[in-house]
Amino acid sequence: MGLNARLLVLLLPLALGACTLMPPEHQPTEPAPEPEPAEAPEPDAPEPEVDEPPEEAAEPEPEREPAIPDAVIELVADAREASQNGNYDQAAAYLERAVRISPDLAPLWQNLAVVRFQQGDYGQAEQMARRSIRLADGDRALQRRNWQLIEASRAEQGDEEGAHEARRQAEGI
Amino acid sequence: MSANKSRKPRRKGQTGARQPGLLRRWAGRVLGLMLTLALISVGLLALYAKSLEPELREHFEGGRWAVPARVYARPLELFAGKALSPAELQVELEELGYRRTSSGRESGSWSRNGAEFHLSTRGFNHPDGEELPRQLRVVFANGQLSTLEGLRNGEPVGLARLEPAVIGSLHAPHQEDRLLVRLDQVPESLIAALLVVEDRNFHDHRGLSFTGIARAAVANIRAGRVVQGGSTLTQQLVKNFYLTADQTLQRKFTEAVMALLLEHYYEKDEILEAYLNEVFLGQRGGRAIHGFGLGAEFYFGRPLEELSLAQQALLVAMVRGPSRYNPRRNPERARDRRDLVLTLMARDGIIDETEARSAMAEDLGLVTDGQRHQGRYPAFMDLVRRHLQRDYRREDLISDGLHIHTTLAPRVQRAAEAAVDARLAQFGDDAPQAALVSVNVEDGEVVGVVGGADYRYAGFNRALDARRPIGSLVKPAVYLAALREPSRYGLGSVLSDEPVTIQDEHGDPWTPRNYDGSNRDQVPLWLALSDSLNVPTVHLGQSLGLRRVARSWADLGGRVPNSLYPSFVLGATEHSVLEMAQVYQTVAAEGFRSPLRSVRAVTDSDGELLSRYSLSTEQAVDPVSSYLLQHALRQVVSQGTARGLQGWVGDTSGLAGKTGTTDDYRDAWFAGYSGDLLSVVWIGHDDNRSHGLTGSSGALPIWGEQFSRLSYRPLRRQTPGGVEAVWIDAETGKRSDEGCEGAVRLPYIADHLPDETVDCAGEPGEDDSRGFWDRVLGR
Repeated sequence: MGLNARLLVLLLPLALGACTLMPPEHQPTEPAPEPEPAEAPEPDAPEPEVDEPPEEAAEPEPEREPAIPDAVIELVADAREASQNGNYDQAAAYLERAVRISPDLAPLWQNLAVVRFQQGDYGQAEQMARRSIRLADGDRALQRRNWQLIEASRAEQGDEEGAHEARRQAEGI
Repeated sequence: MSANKSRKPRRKGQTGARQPGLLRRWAGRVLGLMLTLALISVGLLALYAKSLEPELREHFEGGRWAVPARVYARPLELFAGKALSPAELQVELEELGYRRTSSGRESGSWSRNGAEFHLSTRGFNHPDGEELPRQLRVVFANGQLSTLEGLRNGEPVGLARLEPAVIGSLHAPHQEDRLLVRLDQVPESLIAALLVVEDRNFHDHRGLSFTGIARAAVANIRAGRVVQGGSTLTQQLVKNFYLTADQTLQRKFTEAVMALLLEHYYEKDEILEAYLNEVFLGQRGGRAIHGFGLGAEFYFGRPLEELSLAQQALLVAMVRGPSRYNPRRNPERARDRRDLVLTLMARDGIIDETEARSAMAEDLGLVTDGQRHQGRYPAFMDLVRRHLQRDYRREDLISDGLHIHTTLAPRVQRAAEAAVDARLAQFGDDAPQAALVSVNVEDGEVVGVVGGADYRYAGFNRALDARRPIGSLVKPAVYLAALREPSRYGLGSVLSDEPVTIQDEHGDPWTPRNYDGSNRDQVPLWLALSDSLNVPTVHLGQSLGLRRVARSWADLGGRVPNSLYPSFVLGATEHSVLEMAQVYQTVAAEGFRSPLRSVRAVTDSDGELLSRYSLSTEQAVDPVSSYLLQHALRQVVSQGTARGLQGWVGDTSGLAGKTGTTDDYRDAWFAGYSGDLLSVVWIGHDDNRSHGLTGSSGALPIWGEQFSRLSYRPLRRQTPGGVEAVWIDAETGKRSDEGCEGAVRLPYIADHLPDETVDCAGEPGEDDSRGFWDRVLGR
């Protein structure tokens, strides 16, 4: 979990950036989960499996956690800086490069979702968050953050019902 | 020149000649008259000059700068852990025109020692971020780039990029290409050489140089023919404004006036910069090569800043007569004149004797065609043009000097071309046509397009415009429609394979058949897809309803026909390769459909961002159904109709795909993907004749050949929540157990497991399909 946690901590400012942009009435009811305890997998969380041909089922499970290349960490740092300077287009461009390098990293998609939200592209913010959820199996904190972002995106688009449903999802995790 | 001389007296008028008595009065009148005439001439001249001014400004500031948009490939990202081979890196370096040297330490050069490269990148500005020039040490091991570090300090480098290769420009037919350079990009020695040879007094004259004319006249008289022109750079520039080689007196007069005006209105540096970009340096086919920037690229395949002294001198030598001193056609003559330029440079102290001598010892340093990228990938450029037409006017594209940053990956494109060449060569004279589209799985970027067997020829673009029946390439939509109803279907559900006859669109009886002509009673769903069985697919389509199938097809990004017929589920509808690439991108990205893109961004001539086409995605299919479908498509490759792929790429465990064959073997398809790269291949004859090949035997080999030349990430997907692997009895679709006869391990939705369980001890029946089941169960 070490590497993943490292990346998430690195990414956190971006996520918080999104929260400050949310109008007060859409602020998540609970405070955003703290990185340290929440990053660790819940003890009862099922271990996600990697699809393997049946014949090889007996072999030991391959390493689940993808290694994070330094390249990705560099790009995320660049993206964070661009985002902090309000240059969301540039931040998105850096994150897209990062995603091309490590498309299976759920936090990258989550960050892209945040940047899309910052850009005001709420439709894509939701889609990116969904992609992050798909990859974030077993990482409840990240899943919850994604649902919170979906909730805010839907609310921004005037979809109160959808926002409510997303909140229900976030709370159900 | 004569016009220049004849004008002089008119301007200057008369100096006082003294005449006595009556004569003086007459003289006074004559003088007065002449003064009047002179004034009128000056006035007329001024008016004339004024009338030329707009034209001059237009030429200098307006239309003359019609610069076609330059089109770039994507920049190659280098980082430790990247799936890349030395051969692929070399392809990219060659695409960029990097020189192979012994050290790889000069900008734009590389060296290789086994699996270790030294290279010096050029640095560039890109909408995805700026990249500085770097000197890198790149080492490959275990099928990937294993080490990336600074060449001098040995410090690890996290991420570096090669600059994007120029892959073409967007011009109107017969429009001149342009590659503008700023004055500060031009080597000082080149400018000095140009002035020494062409216009020594450039910084002192006001547009015309009489000493220059005199010197030229003397030289010409001595030689008995025209060996020197007396024109200043300013005059030469004006001459270039007009396409006519018209040499009438009036034209010369106009040019002289314009040269004076140009000097009046513009700074020397502006004129010089214009000249450097305007000078005619040769011809490439029907296109003129103008400007030193383009000349450097055309003759030496390098940016102007990187030219050696000898190369600079050669360009200057060509100014006098690009045809006469064409170094490719008249190397001796060009070399002599280059050496003359170098001698003049040394005499004037621009370079010293030693430099001159060593430059003279250099060969001409030409490349075969520095603009080989022009028109190199016509099918991809076609796609780019269509994309841009949505947002840009054609005039802007061909005149505003825009930079188009595309998604093309040269290594993928070149592998595709090589694969098409190699496989079509097997057919001899009666080779079918082929088309191919390669796409990044995760973001829908189009990284390669082959539009036909003759892929350098900008003709009919089959990848985009040929619509052909897709055969079994449609089947994933049928099986997806089933898997989306987990209460009715799972991967192990058994489907009927009994012969069926239904009504076709004309009300006639239609009896679909399996390709092998035989029928089993029942087959598991995943096997019906992986073996591409037609009869169970028709049964399934009938029981699902065509509209459900069509909805899945649309969700994947497929175009749905206006009327649906039963044959839809067997791929009777016609689609382009590009459309199929979109459908399979959605499949490969587990239901996240990303609209295919060929352009990442457009910047203006100063590098300012005009538009960005960013990654977008839409969850078109839920993760669970997508995952189950993908499992079946992996079986296609591991044991189904595409199992022959193993012969091409070895380990196929990280690949998935689908074959397609149409009636009478007119069209053969293969759509396949790894974790990061997807290619769709089609082959067939333009006149729709049969070629006798299936997707497996005709299209798959091209795919296999392409991927065998590429590094890619294997497919590895997380099992979605709520899905577990269970043992299912292949013959009945009931639950079974590990070790039981006929048990197959399949991913299933935990809430939708089969209710019944078979007895474990069952022995396989002694029937005709024994061999079939043996293969299915891997016995």
